[in-house]
Amino acid sequence: MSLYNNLGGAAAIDAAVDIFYRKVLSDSRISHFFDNTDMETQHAKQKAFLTMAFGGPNNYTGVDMRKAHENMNLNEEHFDAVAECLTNTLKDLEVNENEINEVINVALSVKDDVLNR
Amino acid sequence: MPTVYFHTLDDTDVLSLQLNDNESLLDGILRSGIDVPFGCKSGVCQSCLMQSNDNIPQTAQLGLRQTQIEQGFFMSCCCLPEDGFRAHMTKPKSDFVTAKVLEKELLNQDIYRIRVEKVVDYRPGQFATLWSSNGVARSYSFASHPQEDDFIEFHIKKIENGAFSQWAWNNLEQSHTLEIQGPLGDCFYTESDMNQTLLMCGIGTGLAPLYGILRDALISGHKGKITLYLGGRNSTNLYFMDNLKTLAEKFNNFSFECFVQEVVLDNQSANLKQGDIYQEVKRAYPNLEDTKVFLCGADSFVKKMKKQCFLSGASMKDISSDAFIAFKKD
Repeated sequence: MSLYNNLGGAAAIDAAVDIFYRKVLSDSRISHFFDNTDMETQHAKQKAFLTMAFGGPNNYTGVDMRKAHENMNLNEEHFDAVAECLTNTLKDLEVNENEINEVINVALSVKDDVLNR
Repeated sequence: MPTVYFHTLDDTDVLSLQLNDNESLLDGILRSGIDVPFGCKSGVCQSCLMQSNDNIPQTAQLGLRQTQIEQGFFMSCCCLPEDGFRAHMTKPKSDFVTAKVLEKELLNQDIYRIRVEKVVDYRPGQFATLWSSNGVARSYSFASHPQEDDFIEFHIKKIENGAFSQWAWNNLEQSHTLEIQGPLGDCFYTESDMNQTLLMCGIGTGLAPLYGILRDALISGHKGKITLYLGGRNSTNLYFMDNLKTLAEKFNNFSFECFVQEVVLDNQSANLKQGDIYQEVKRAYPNLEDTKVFLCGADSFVKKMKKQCFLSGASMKDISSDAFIAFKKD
């Protein structure tokens, strides 16, 4: 949990989730996936994802991540787009490079689940 | 070691339990063998939400919406309560009450209001489900104010073949009774920041909750600027213009604008302009950071406007909305 605490814990998640979600909705590579989602539900999911990526408390098993993304025909480009949104969110929040890399590594560790491979 | 009380949802059972030092309410309840939902146990996921009317420790409400806080919601995983604390699971439904009809009046060509006795307490902007005598249920927002008005007011749009709206228009008369279930919903004004700019947007009877929220804010003495944007196809879709004008004259910080797709010259045309409400809001409010937004009306309108406002910088926790979902055919 040290990364999570270094980043600022629950308060950091609250600060990050709006910025991250806004970037995702504005990215033409992936925004169309969110046209028909309920924003509150999606916002809560982004929050859970960021908590996990920040090394915070979570019960991540991969099952939900697989289920949520199956039949979406996602590819590397889509995954990269989300990773970029995440990186840019952290840059906006002036997180240092080492910690950004740590977060991205956590995100990379769920790549196979997201892409259902 | 505080003793606390946990009420089951139907209130048939009260569990009294002793918490250990530094034990959260959630852990205490789980330890006693009662199965309640939870997730992260760290105040993030909000899976373990409960409600209480007692003094709730601040740490148990960090990150919740102001509307949730005012309704006594808290995260039981972060709750180290004081002795005698009472909590219950969040109520998914409210009780039924019977209200006598006081008045039925047309507000424009297809919207009418119904006033009933004030039989429940509510926050303006919340909604209730109304039941017809033949068992049809529809939800309508409170357009009245619980402290200012001694009646409850709902605005109902007459829908062609609408199971409830036509029934009520044709059958409901003064001194008849109506079954009401509520209040529900968390789209209402909170006094968290009296200087915050408030932006309200609505179409159709979305004005009902917005009018309630607006009066609540003004009566509470809100200091920040409040602007109401209304949209419609033409002037015949609008109503309550005189009420809004009166408020705008009385309160310097409130103004409203109406945008319609086509202007038909009539006695309401002085109040409105031709324009697209989405574009006009974007033009007037390019940056919504720190602005509190209220959106009410048809589901498609609320969805589109919510996305636009969020992308313009409004924080998700500062966007309150109430979308009318069309009911499936009975």
